[in-house]
Amino acid sequence: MKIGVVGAGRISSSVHLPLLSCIDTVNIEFIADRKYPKVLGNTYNTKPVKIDKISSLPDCDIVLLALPVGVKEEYVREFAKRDSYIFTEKPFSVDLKTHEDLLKLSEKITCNYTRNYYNTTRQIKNIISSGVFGKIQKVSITEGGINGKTGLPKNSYQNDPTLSGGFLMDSACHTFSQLDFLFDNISVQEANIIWEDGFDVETNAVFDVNSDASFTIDYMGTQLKNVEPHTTFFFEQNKIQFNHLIPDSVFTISSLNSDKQFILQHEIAFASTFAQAYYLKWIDFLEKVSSSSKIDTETETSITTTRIINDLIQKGNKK
Amino acid sequence: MNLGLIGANGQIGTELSFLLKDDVNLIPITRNRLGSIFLKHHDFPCRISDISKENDALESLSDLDSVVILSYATDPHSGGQTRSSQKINDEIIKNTIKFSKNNATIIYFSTIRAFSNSIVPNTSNFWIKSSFEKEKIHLENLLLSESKKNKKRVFILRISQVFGDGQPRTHYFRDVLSKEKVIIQVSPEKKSNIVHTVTIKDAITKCLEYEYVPGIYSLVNNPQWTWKDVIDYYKKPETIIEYKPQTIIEDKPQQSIQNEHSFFWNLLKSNKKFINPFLYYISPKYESQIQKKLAIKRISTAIYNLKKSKLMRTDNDGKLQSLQTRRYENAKAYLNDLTKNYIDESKIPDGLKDDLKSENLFSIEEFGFNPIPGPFLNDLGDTKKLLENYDSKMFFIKSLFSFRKFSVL
Repeated sequence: MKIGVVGAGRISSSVHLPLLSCIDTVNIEFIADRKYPKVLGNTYNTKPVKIDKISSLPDCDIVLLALPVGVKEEYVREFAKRDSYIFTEKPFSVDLKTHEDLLKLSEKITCNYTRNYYNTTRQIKNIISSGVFGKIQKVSITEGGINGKTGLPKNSYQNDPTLSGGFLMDSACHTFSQLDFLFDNISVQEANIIWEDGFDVETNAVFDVNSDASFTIDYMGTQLKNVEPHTTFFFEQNKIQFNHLIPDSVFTISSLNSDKQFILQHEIAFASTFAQAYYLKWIDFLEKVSSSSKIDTETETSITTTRIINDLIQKGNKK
Repeated sequence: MNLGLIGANGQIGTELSFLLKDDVNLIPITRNRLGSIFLKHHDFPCRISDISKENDALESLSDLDSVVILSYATDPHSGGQTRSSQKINDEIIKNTIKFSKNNATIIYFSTIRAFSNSIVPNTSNFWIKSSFEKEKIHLENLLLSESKKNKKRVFILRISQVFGDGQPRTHYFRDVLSKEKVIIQVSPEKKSNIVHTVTIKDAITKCLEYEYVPGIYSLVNNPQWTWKDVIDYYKKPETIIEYKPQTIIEDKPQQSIQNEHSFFWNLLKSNKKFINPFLYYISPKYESQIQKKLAIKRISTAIYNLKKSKLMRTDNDGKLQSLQTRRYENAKAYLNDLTKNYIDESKIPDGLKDDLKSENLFSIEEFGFNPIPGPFLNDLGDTKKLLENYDSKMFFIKSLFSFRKFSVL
């Protein structure tokens, strides 16, 4: 399978290109960027392409769009027109309307939400669906932390809120994609967002889940406080706590009326490292491509994630 | 007194910004807009400037009476040093000296690792010396030579572990020392080299006074704390502490690996620890190739480990089954596994292990360090008193930086 890579940034050079080099069934056909990616092209023995006109990009079976969300749309349009399979970096789109419009263009598209391949995510899914601890009463999620050293150059696209998108778009989208994977019917009840210099820096929100059981999710994502990222599931008599950000989180369990914690032993069946999660995502998509099976694009691109962010921003008074 | 803090959004820089803001006209300098958000939110007059670029440095530094350099560039792929990251570090120092005011005081933070093996026993020798040590020593020398040429006052402060409410190491100590019983693997009377941010702030303000003589200084708590002092300060009152000093075991030499590739590439692929020293010397034109080798090594190892797992879901041909269609399948296996065990009254299965171990061994690399030699800055305040003062006046900062969990039903 011929894969074209559009975007020669850090995610391409440190993850996608080396990963694709490890998969026998693919051939990296070209690497394209607005700046001529000669060094990266030579390093991976592929054709470097300077993007002047999007329509002039070479053809490929699958295109990887490793681009800022703010500039992705016209590339999706171009490769959808060519009927290529499209693998985009997250988040999928800047708003719900754009997301819906893009899905009308292509039935061969996915978005790189990798946390669904984490052992952590699969484990909590199993616990919930087993019903062994009864019905969920409530969920609490905390994540973020003071930014610290960014490691980004001055002109990185992530410094432009119109191209990237602050905490919700850049980071919390992964967590919302996990919620999408875990629950069928999730909506934003209320939200309060703190903005700074065009970036959302803290979101406090309550989500409603209306599926087999109804319960709420308290969410806090912040870049203004030091927090320990974690998720807590409150069941009828017990609570389970883990770090949803990492692939191989320890799960602790305790009774609601006791501080005594136990470690929940579980099997490792999926990704226990970040690299493994990326690999499983690619392998999953490549298998769908090679079998020509119909792709559920709403699930693949997690339209629920975009809807959640959309609603949060609307209810959180975008500035 | 305009004091610029280059790298103000780092962990130490952020905390120092809050500590210094009432003593000087503090100007935090961050390389990009994203890095400035937290400080801007707290009304700091941030300057967004890449000091490794002459134009930015000219614009941001020319009105500064003093500059503290906390930034330290590393290669984003390896975390070590490449020629490219070295160039950035060099330019930050050269531009700071060149574009700050004529009589400016420059304060640079270096490391205890700049001392020899006698202080940091596991420090390696010869070319395998870590790029961090080599780069810091190089930058110290560059700073001294540039300051001599430009007649600037330069203080180099060598530090070891930094403690403070915004420092992860502090959080780690508090966490470990909150257990029921902890066995500390160091002699209680051995001098630690730790320094608190309140003492760093004190040292910075002293360096700004003209009676202090520029040069290279070591910076630790004043008076220097023993490890017992550190443990007593951070442990919970009810935590039982026992000291069992440990003999330092030096790193075993790595065995060579043989396969079909050349010795050079085998060495590069075998261990990141060996690759980073190469990166320090190798021409930028080879950096991309080495980064590729590193990344492929990391990913192929991850894939190998995943495939090795018997639990990986593959069909008879060894192909990965569709993950998207197995959302609930694995729950059955999990439930079967669980129901093999009995469930007690609280519904907790037997497959749970008690997390509350009665004893916890605690050992860190720094327990093996010897006391840092001087010279030290004179007349620094007593760190314990500075901390008491900080605790009583800086409740806001403490609440801001302290690590918290939020989850209440």
